[in-house]
Amino acid sequence: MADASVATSVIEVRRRTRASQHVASYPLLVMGVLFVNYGVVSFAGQPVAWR
Amino acid sequence: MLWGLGKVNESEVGVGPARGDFLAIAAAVFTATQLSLIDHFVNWLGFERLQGVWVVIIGGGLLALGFSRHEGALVAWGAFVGAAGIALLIADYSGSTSFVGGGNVITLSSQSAPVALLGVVLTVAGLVTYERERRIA
Repeated sequence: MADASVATSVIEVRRRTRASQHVASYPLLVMGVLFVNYGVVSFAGQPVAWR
Repeated sequence: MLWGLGKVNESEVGVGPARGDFLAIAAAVFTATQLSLIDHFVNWLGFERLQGVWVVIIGGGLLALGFSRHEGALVAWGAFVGAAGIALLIADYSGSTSFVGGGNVITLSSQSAPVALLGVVLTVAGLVTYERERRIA
């Protein structure tokens, strides 16, 4: 019984830690604004201009 | 950029996830994107379809990030972006040319409305996810 509650609390701590690190939202936000930028300004340009 | 955000987050919270996977995935995306610019490949595929390939590559990057972080939502969004890229690849969307002017007017050309729309969808999803994470944490 105690093991189950410990396991549950570990999952909860992991969930909160990931949320505090914004593991899912930051990649979505960064890629979202980049797609908007490429789509609106000039998607025809070189995708990476390091030449 | 994501690596940098992770670094800032770690400085504020005091703990953060390993950020090596960001760099590894960024390197893979960069390499794949550059390889897609090889003339033979571009000539065979055509530029419009190439845009779809780039979106597929980004979807693959998000998918890899989702798997490496064990984040189901990111995996799902990666799959969604990949599917959107494949749709662009098939649709052969040619985009639109606009704002071509002289003088000091900035020339904007070859816009891609589907890509911009995809960006809006991802940004909104990111904002909603951010708010949810803020409430959990």
